[in-house]
Amino acid sequence: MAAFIDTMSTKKLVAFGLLLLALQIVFFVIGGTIAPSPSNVASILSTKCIDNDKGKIDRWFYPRGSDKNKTCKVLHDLNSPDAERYSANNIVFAAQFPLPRDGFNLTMSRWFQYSLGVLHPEISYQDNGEEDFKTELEIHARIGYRNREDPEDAWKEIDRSVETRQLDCNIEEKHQDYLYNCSPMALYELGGVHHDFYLLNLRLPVTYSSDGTPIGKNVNLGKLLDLWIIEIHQNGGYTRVFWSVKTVFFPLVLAGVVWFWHRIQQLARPPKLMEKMLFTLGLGLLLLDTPIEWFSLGFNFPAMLLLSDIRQGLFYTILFAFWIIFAGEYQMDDVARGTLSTYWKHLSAVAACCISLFVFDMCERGVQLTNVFYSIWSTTTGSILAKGFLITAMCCACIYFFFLTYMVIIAVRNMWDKRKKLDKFQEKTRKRYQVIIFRFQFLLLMTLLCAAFTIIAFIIAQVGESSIKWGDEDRAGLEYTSAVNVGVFAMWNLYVTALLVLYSPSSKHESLINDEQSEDVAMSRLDLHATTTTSEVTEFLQKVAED
Amino acid sequence: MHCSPMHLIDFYCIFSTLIIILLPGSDSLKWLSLARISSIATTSHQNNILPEALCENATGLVHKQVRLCKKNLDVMDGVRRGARMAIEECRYQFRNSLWNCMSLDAVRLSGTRESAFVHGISAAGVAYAVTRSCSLGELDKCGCDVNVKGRSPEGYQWSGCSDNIAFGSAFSKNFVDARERSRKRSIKSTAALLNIHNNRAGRKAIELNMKVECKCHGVSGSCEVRTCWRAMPSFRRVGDILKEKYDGATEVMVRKASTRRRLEPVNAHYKFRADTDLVYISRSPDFCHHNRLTGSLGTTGRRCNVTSPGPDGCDIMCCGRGYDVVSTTKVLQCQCKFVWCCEVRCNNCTKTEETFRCR
Repeated sequence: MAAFIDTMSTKKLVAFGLLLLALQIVFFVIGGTIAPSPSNVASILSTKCIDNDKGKIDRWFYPRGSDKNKTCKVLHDLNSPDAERYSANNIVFAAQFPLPRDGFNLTMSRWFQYSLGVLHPEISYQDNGEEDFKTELEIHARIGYRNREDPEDAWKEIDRSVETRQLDCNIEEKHQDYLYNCSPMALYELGGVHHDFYLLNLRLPVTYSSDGTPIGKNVNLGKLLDLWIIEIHQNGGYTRVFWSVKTVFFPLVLAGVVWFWHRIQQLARPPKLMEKMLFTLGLGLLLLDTPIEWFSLGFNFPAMLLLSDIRQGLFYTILFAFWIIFAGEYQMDDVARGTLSTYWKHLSAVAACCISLFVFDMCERGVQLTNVFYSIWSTTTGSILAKGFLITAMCCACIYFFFLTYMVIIAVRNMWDKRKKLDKFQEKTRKRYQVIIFRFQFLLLMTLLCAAFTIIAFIIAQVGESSIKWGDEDRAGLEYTSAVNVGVFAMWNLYVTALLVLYSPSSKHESLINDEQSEDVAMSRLDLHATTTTSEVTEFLQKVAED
Repeated sequence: MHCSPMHLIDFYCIFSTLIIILLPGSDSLKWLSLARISSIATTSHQNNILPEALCENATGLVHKQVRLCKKNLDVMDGVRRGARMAIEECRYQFRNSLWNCMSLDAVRLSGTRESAFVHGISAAGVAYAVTRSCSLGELDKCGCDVNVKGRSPEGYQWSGCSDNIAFGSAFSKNFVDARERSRKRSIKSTAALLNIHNNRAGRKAIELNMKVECKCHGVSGSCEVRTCWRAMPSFRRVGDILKEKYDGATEVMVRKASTRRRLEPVNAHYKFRADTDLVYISRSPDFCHHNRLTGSLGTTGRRCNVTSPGPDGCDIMCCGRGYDVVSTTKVLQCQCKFVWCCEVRCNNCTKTEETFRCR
């Protein structure tokens, strides 16, 4: 079994490597210069509309209507004497987005892909108040949409729901009228932005007991002054660049996979586990690269976000399984492997990790398909369950990496031993070992480089993102997060494509192919010839006797 | 009208008082009189005058401000609100000081610390209120961004818009600094230099104290993709920050460096943070006695705290003139608790209070 990587001259291999590096840099630069940042935030201050019917009549409140008295009678300040006439049930927080800008009545765009909302209450501290308070918030939420050509009041409902959220606030300095720092609460998540305008109507109602005292979760809110809604969506420019990269890679990877399969078909023997695994990895990547997202421009397909998650998860599962099997197949010990079942321990760690993440995702984004306000984190049981899934996934990931490191260390050690003894081998055996060692080291090096780059790039991006300060934004310069995202995506594509090319069977050396049958048997036993220590000699003699 | 400044419910009492008394003296602060207009839109509606005419009739606006007002009528409500907030905050911050912000005449002699504070807080107030208006979607022309491609609907699709504070701050700079910048002299006057500096310090008090919050929303909600945004501090906090800057204000003088005039600290040993510190050039007048010339109202009749060693203590507040004691028994509301949304539940406490007033 000779792979392309064995028959390639060093010159060609270096040239191939440089080509990949050049492509990598090109994609990095594309991500950094052409694409804007991955997502955009709009801080929207909700308008407080007065509902004299206290919610008994179903209607929309929208702050930017032509007749504000009809559509939203605005209460400017909950702190004003005017407000004392109203009760909690009279107040509707309305937010319509996008906000108008520069005289344009902007619309949302299908390129945005997703939109999610975060709730950020402004609660002011009052004398003798608590330093931190935790309470549950009961939100009667409703979200609707309208398109540009629709009449002004033609809001159509997407979803309505009664939600609870954990409100967790604290204050550093207990000063009158300072604002509590409240942890932001996830409000909604739309898996597709298909319409032009969106409208949120939120109520924080209380009920009244027979003697007129208000009861319910929202009584403990304190001095809530305003509700901010932070709307986050993917930038259209980023979507375009990312989809373009995907669309470019799709035929490339498809060609790689087809070519690889063609090579395997030409072999006289059935494909080996490594080859099957590599092929599956190619298919996984192909699935990830399939640019089905383009359909979301024409059709309303809210499940796209979930589908993307699943595709990405599937690719990572296969990649992780591939690494384990690669490390296993290059152990160079005398354990017979070659079937998937030998790796059941390792693979079940991968499977458990991915399944728990999948279940978690289904519980969060899957349910969001039926109720956009749903969040698994909003209830105590839900958040315990969610944490359970995530901790399981984390533990499995740790076990997996433990297995992988262990296998890699053993493999490296074995190779180290073998390499020392290489001179003592026959010509053919030595060549064989050199090939195996080289293949393994090449992939190990490549994988480590890619993984290290991914991790470092993401860490830098995270640190950079959270330390944004006023005036620091260098908008004209390199958009680092996008560069990292596009670059890393391109990198794993190039990684798999390179593997498909380099590790595909080569027909250049007929002699090696003819050796195929004997080779597999030889592979596990050949090293026995190299026994030098006495114990190994005895072991060898025993083996010979058995034979 | 009797108002007890410490009392929450009397908030509006102070408010209405200030609108009556308020008569900005300093030229560069005259625009603050906008605070007295109830609402530009409703005023014009009630009196059947064009809103544009209101811009021209508003006292204290310079030519450029009138132009900005006409061009951005919807923003002017934000400016008005900002001016009110600034004055309220000033009164709150100086409630225990000799100068209690009740008369902005005190800043007639510009270049004092007090003038620096008022400039800072008013620029901040406008930036704050305009940002809020913009976030509410009240402003059609709220800017998207100057730097990004986001100037058109296509630009918005491509890369979105910047934070609303960018617009609020830019408008505040345009509007509040207008008087200082409108002078057609190539070299700005000392007062203009000072005011521009303090206005900027006020805006920076918001910008540098924005709180960064983040949300992870990558695959399965992981932090693979994370988006951060900034939230404005409460205006009370902005006021506190500026009050601190007032307490540590730097005395400066104007130095001519080649063609430009620059502000430099009098005491060269002082560290001088160019952007954020309040600066003054002349010492504050004596606020103890009524003085028409300096605009000081004097402290006669002011309430003081007999136990406090600070500036609200009777020794300092009354400038050695002594004080009168009035003992009253009052039923006060205490231990107030807010019940969402608009209800205040308080207990009644009977309290015998001794009030001390300066002679």
